[in-house]
Parts: sequence; C-alpha cells; structure tokens
Amino acid sequence: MQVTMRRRTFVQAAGLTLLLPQLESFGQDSAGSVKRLFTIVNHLGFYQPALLPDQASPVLLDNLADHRDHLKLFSGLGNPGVQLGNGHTPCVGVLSGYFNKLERKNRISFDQRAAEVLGRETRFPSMALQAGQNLNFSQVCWDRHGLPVYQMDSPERIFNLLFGVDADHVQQKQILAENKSILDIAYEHAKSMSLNLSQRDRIKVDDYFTAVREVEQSVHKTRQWSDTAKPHTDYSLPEYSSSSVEDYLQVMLDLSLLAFETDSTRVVTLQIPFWESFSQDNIQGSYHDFSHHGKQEAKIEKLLVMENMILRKIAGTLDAMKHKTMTGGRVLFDETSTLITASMGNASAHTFDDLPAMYIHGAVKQFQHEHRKDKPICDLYLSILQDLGVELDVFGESQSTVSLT
Amino acid sequence: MKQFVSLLSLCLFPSLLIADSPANPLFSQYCVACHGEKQQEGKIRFDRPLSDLQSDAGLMQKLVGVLQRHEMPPADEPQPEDAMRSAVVKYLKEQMRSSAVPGALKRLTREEYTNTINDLLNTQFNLTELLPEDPVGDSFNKVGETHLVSPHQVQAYLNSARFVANALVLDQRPELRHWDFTLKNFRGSGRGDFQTDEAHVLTTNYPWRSNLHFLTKPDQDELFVVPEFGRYRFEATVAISHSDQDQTIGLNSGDPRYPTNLQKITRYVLPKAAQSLTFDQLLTQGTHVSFTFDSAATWNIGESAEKHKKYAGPKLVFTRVQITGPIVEEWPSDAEQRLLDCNLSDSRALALHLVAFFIHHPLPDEAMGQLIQLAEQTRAEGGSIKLAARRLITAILSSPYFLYKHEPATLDDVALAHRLAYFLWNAGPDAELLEAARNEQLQSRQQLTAQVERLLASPKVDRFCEDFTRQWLRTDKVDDVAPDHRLFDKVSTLQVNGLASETQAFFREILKSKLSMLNFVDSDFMMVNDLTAEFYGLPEVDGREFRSVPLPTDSERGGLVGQAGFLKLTSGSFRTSPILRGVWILKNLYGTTLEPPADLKIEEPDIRGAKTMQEVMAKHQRTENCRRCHAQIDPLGLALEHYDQLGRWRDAYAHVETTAIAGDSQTLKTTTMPIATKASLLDGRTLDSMRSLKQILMEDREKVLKGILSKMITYSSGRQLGVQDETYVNDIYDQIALSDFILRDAIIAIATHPDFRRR
Repeated sequence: MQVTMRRRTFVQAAGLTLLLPQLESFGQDSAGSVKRLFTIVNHLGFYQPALLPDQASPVLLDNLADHRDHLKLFSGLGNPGVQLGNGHTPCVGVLSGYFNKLERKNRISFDQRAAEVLGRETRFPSMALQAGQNLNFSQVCWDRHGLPVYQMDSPERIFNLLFGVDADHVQQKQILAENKSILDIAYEHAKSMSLNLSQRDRIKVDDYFTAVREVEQSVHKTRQWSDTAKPHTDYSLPEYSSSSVEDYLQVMLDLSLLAFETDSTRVVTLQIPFWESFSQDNIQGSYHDFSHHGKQEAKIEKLLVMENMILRKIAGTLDAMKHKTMTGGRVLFDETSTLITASMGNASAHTFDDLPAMYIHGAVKQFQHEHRKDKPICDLYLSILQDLGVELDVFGESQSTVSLT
Repeated sequence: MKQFVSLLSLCLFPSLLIADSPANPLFSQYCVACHGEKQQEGKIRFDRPLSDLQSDAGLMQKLVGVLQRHEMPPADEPQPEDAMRSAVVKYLKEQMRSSAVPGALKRLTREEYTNTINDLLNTQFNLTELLPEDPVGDSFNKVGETHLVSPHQVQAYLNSARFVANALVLDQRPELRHWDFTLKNFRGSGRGDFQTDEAHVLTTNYPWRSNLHFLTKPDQDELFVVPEFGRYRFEATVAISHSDQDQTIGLNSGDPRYPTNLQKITRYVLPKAAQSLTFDQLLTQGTHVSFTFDSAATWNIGESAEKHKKYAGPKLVFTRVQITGPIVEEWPSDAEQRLLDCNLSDSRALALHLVAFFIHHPLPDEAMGQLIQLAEQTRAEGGSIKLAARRLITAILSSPYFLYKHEPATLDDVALAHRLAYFLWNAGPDAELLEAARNEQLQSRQQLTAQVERLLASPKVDRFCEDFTRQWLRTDKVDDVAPDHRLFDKVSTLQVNGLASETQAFFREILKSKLSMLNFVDSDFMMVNDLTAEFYGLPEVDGREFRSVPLPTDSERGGLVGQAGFLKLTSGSFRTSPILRGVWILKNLYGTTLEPPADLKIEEPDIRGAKTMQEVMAKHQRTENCRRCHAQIDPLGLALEHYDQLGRWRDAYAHVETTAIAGDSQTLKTTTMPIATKASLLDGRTLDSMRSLKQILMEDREKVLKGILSKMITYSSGRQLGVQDETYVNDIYDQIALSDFILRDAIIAIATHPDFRRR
C-alpha cells in the first residue's frame, strides 16, 4: 500500500511538530501537582444588577457564599473580536473572542487551547458538555482549525464514554485498526477530490481533510488507551427530566465532577444553553423569554429563580470538589481553575460586551471585584492559560494580562 | 502595458478609484455624506470602487433592497431622481447577476444520506440518529454555505457506514429466536401501573420512564436486550379497558429508563375493540425495548398503589408479549444480493461494482486504486470476500466522493438528475432517472417535465412534503413542550403532536390534489384526524389518518395562520407572543430577512408599567432602534391575540402567574385581562383579527407567494438566494399566475426553469 506509506510519513512529521513545544509544562509543575480547567458558560448570562457587589442587592453572589474567599469577580469585559449579528449568533465567540458573521468557522476557544497542553496525559484531552439542546448559536468550543468541537448533550453517552466497558475488547481493537486504513483512504480521496475543485470548494473539502486528520489522531489515542481499563464508579445516572434545566444541569455537573475525579480529563467545558421552553417542579416557561425582561419585575424574578438555581448548583459542585482528595493528597478544588462566564452581558438587549466572569481558585485568598470596562475578556483567558502553564503571549484579542489572585 | 497604466493611475489618482461604474455618481452625491470618510453609518462606506463593494455580496443585496424600496437615502435627506435611482438599481442587478458566484459545495444532509442508502438497498434504516444534526442556513439544512465538517461529523460518518456494512453483509444466516413474556416477566415503572392475577395494567404515561419492561430472567432483574440487528416481530396480547376509543402504544427502543427522546418512540394504534397488536420493528443490537402508554389520559395519579387500582381512566391490560426475530425472509437478503452482484472471486471487480453502486460519477484512477488495494489487502491477509465487501462499503460511505454533491457551475444532466431527486425525494436518483440523464433525455423541457411528473407521482414525494414543511415552518417545534397540565387538562400530547402533522398533511394535500398556493393564505378545508378534529371541535372523524374536511363558513381556521400548530409553536407555556407570531409570518410567508444593522446598539427596552400586550408593544416601539423592525412585526402578531398558547379561541387573556415557588407545592394565579388586537402597519392598513390578517395577506399575495416560491427554490438548489435570483422567482410567479397558482405547477416550473441548472 504505497499510498498509505506516504500518508504515514506525513502523520509522523505532524507528530514531530506537535512535540516541538517541549517547554510547555504539560500541566504539571515540579511538585507534581496537576492543573485543571473547568469552564462554565451560561448562554443567557447573569442579571448584573443582582450580581455585582456595588449594586444594592447582589443576591446572586450569595449562592457562592461558601466560596467567596476564593472568588475573583470581573465585570465590564469587552469582546472586541465579536461582530454583531443576527440575534444570538455572536454568542459562539464567547470563549474564542471571535465571531465574523460571514464565516462559519471560528478560532480556537481558550478551553481547547488549554486542552492542547493539559490534555496530553488523560484519556480525553477535554470534554465539552452541553446542558440542553445544541442550537447553531450554542456552539462555544472550537478546535485549532476553527471547527466546532462536539458538545455532548446526552448524559448516557457521556457516562458510557467515562465508564462504559466495550463489550468485546478484541473486536474493538480490530475496529480501531480498520478505522485507520479507512481514514487513510478518506484522507487521500479528499486530497484527490480537491485537485479538481475551484478555490472556494477546495476550502470546503479542506475541512473534511482536516477533520479526518483529527479523527485519525483521536483513533490513535484511543488505541493507546484501549488497554488501560476505564475507572470504576458507584455513581449511576439518576432519573432526570430532559425538559428540566435543573435536572439536566445537575446531571451534567455530576458528570463533570466524575470526569475530574477519575482523571479522565483535566479540561471540562459546560455550556448552559438557550432554553426556549422548559418545565421543572417550581417553575416553567421560556428561560429565553425571562431573559427579555424589559425591566419588568415579574420577569426578572423568574430570571433570578433560574440564575440562583444555576449558581447554587455550581456552588454545590465546587463544594464537592473541596471534599475530594486526589492522588498525592491534594484537594481537587485547589488544583482546578473554575471560570463561570456568560455569552451576553445583557440578554434583554442582546449585548455581547459588558461581560461578567467569575474566577474561582484556591490561590485566590479573599474576595475581589475588578471592573475592567471594555477590556477584552481575552486578557483574562490569556492570564488563565499562562497560569495553567500554557506558554503564550497573546490569545485572541488580548491586549494585556490580569492578576488572577 | 494596459495593466501598468491602470496601476499607475491607481497610485497617482486615488480619486479615480471610486468612479468605476454608473452607480458611483449616485453614491458620491447621495450616500457618502453618511457612509463615507467622515461618517460610517452602519459601518458602511460608499467611497469605494464598485468592484470593491461587490466583494461583499450581503452588502450589495442590502443596497439594492434599500434603493428599490426607497428606504435610502432617508426621507429627510436629498433624494436622487427616480430615473437615476431605477437606472442604478437595474445596473446593479445586472452586475450581480453576471458576477454571482455559484453556491458553495454541498454535502448530503443526514436525511438525504439515509434516504439515498435506503433507496439503493431497499432498506429502512434510521441513520439520521447516528449523524449529528446539520446546521441550518436560510431556514434549510441543504444550504452549502453552512455545511461545515467537524471531526465529530467524520467520526459519525465512519460509525454509520460501518453500521450499514455490518448490518447488510452477513457471514451467516441470523438465528431466529423467540421470547415469550408473561406476567412474571413484566416490570412496570412504579408510576401508576399495577398487576392483577393475570395481567399487567398501565394507567399513565409518565414522561421520564417507560411503562412496561421485559425481564428475561425475572429473578435476576435481567432486561431483554436485542441480540443482533434485524427486524423483530412483536405480538402483544393487550386490551383496552375503561375507554371506548382507540389507544396508542409506543415502542421505546432507546434506553428504557429514559424515554425522553421521543424520536426513539414508535407509535402504534390499538383499535378500540382489539385484543392484540402485532407489528414489526427494525432494531439495533444492544437496544433495550419497552412499551409506553402514549395515549394515557394523565401522567400522574400519585404514588400510592391504592390510587392506581382505583383510577377510572383508560387503561391498557397486557397479558402476554412475544418477540420473534431477527426475521429473515430471504437469504441472502435482497440488499446483500444487490451489493454482491458481481464476480466475487475478484476483489477488483467487487471494488468497481460497489463504487458504481454508490457513486454515480467516475472516480479518478488513484482514488479507485486505493479502494481496490483495500479489498486486495484484506484478501491477502486471509480475510473473506465478505469482510472485504464490508470494508469497502465502510470506506465508500465515508468517502468525500460519496458525501459531497458533485455539481459543476452549470449542472450537467447527471447533476441535474441528482438535484431533482434531492428536491422531490430527498434522496439520490433512481435507476430510471439516472438512465435518462446519461442518455441525454433530460434536455428538452418536455422530457424534463415528464420526469418531474414521474417523481411527483411517487410516494417518495411525501419525504419532500415532510422535510420541506418541517424546515420551512418549524413544525418540529410544535410539540417541544407539552401543554401545562394544570391549565390544559383536556389536551393530550398526542393531540399536540397531531397539530404538527396537520401542517405537513395540509402541504401534501395542496400538492397532491393540485390546489392553489393561495390555500396557504386561506382555505375552505382543513386536514384533521380523530384527535385533532376533537381538538378543533369539528365533527368526529375516525382514525389517525389525516383527511380533508370542509370548514364551516364562519370558521377562521383556513390557511396556515389559522392552524393551531403555528399558534402554539410561537407561544410559551403560559403566554402567547405577538412578536414571535409576527416574525414567523414575515420570515416564512413574506420571506423577509430581519437583520439588525452592524452598529445597532439596542437600548435595553423598558416596558415597566404596561398593562396590556398592546401597551407593551407600543412601549418598546418608542425606542427608535426597536421600531424599525417591530413596526413591521408587532401588528401582524397582535391581530392573533384572540388565540391562546395552544391556538384555541379565547375571549380574554388568562394571565398566569406562578406564586409560592417552593418545592412541589406551587400555585398558579390566573388573572383575566381584556384583549386588544388593533394595530396599523407601516403603510397605514389596519388589522385587528385573524380575518383581517388573512385579508392583508391576500392583498399582498404577490409578495407572499414569491416569498414561498423563494423558499422552495432555496430548498431545491441549496444556495442562498439574492437579487440575482429575482428573475427566476418572477418567471415562476408569472407562469403560475396563469393557472391559479397551483402548487404542483410551481414545482414543475421551478424544476424546468433554466436557472434550476445554476449551482
């Protein structure tokens, strides 16, 4: 198979370039402590008059009272690389700092950039999760080619990925080997097909090309991991309603925690999307509609029911992280950078700047609030990436760094 | 040399830059003051050469639009003379038509992928659930511009290709097995079902758990699992009690604990007097199956066993369930025979045969060679010819040659055949159409019309009706959320579900009975089944099939806007939204694109203190930025305020507030408020009711029908339409105006128009 030979040579070459940035610390400092990143994006944001400590009644913050000493709250952040567009579409740029309405592709999101370094030693480089339906504009995780990273919305599927045992191990290995040769052909076909295409079409097929290469690498990684047993868990999925934001979010938070606990991954991104309609025990209706409150108190009240619930659930997970001891006796909470942010500053008016961001980490020793009016949110991403050991000077539209502690 | 001179002049006389067309004088005189060096309203500048402006197709579309509609320059600014304006508009349109770039390269949507494979192999796979949802552009998932391919997508292609290969090419005949489940094997959800001495009785349809599971080993709690892919026969001994109506049983073939993904539930009707139900279902290896009681009158009758037994509503009484399968009627299967219909001792012949079977244009030698090599290598390693076939099928179905549509800038006959079939069957062409294309029998309008008519006569055209209506009118969103049972205790999930099917049935009826497209605006009939007839308060009909019934003369239900599906899908659980209804009408009927300008800063609307919906609307229109769109949107929606969130008539608002949000005990407080529907459109026409809305739509019939035609053209050609397509739309409109706007004629006209060959 001469063709295949050429192909393999190429992959090897690609592998070499991947290994080049040896200086990056693989997410471990000298003491052997592990770094993790947990990013949570609430699509509809947070009602800021109830969030910022300089407001009359910042009730939302109360939910995080137990973690207040480790919280640094940023506000007023801009996102200058994000163009205005139809309705919610610019939300896709919250973690990448980029959105151009004429392009379908984006730029790498900061969590995926972190995964390139933190993800090398775990079964999954990162896990992108979604607590609700994935709509066009709820995509927030983008790979380094600007292609969407699938945000998994099925708890069963995630659970199986983490803990499921392949029925037939030998058969599974054969499939992986077969995938390799089939992907080789798909790759070659994409290449030969693009020879006869116009420049514009070629760009489309290039996506296919790139995606095949990525899958090849993940097949390669799965093969490497296929002899390592998956971790065991006593957790079983609870009964949950997929039309309840609360239920759905809780399962996703549980799974995020399990993924960290079992060291299946060190980067988890969880997006809480647009819920046009939902129904749960205490409240139902359209979360989206609540967000368009037009300053009416009745609607704001409902909006706050949702936002309080979301922050309370997250606080519960953070609490569990404080009680979880990892290998080496370190506490999961202390090793994890948690960032809670929003795709819109004010969902009632569809503004994509004036963003809040809550950074939570053991290294923060007392509550702080820093208002950074119109300073790019990418400054914060850059600083977190640097703190995680990713060596870079610029991320997206960043102009400077911020102090995280 | 010439090039050099122009380069030189570029450097020396930058002002020459902007005078490259007859449009520039208009720009410099009337536009650049606000869209130029000093000001860049909307981040737009016209002090640029036209060739530069043309690189932004979206801007050009907008420019022609605002000039044509006299929206720009703004009314309080100096205006160009009409002659100048129309000359420039004409010039720009010609420019755009001649310089229009072909639509982007498209790949198969997951529906096209599934149907294409099923048609080629005579199978009934549901492959859509193995592939991610396709992104949508201009309402439809067929538009190439939006077709990104992510690693996840490629992985999904690989998985579904392998699934097809493994399911069809088998090393041995599957063993027929039989399971017989009786009382001891049944397990309920614990949510309202109970057992008597002989039977398992279902009373509710608890939405988060299935009702009846089957245990293969009752003492070990081991659930029945489908052992291998295939068709399974279910024979249930079941009767209805406490009801004299047909009931619906669902087969949940997903995870039995969580039947929330309703797409995994296949529904079967159990006629009222029946004592048993038999059906066949295609099931995948490893699937759990269970029954749900989809037509149950309630989902919640409390936790106590006593309550369950005393419950007086409809019940299903199961005494026995037998499962047999996988059923193999023919061995090897028809599909396998088609796939292996070649010289099986020759791997090369097999590869050539399979490629020709799935891909209808020639592959480059090198690409073909790689597939032949895959087969030869499998054989060389000692693999069977069937293993080679499975690998080849997996590779071919994962290849971009199969997944991308092969379309030159002007479609040749084979590409045209594909486009036709993707349009009307949502699948690739059949042998006859392909043959006609290859024999140059699609060249004349007559030949082409004959093929279009043949396609329209096939039952496969139902796929077009379903897929187009679902995407155009978002009918899949109708039953997104079940009506709140405290407010609507008489409305069942199945009825709501029927409202989505109604719209599809309506489209199908207009197409098949050769009716006018004006029926979309208003009609003297509607499509109902037993459940929806009851919902609408129409005379009783029998059975779940939709059929046409004449409407009473005083009914307002005719047309699309009279249908409860639309009225429900644009509402929340507790309230209607005139905005969503207005947007739906503008987008889907008028074909309007509502887009905020690039520099729009929406001031946060302040609608405190507004008492009625009309006041709310009036208040947010006070903000100039909002008014620009909402003055168009709101009146259309307000006119429909007499229809509640389920699309039923109401005399007054029932304003619902939730009070006492604590744990499970929540109370709803309902306040009655008067309805005000009167509003005027920008052009001064007023409307205040469903009737007057339809009258307005009827007056605007040209716009509305052109809007719908544009949707069909976008769907069929998979590209975003622009000003350059205006003549295409106009030609079709003029053509069908001669025959009372028959939908079927419109489709034939679209497919036989020369522009149908434009990529």
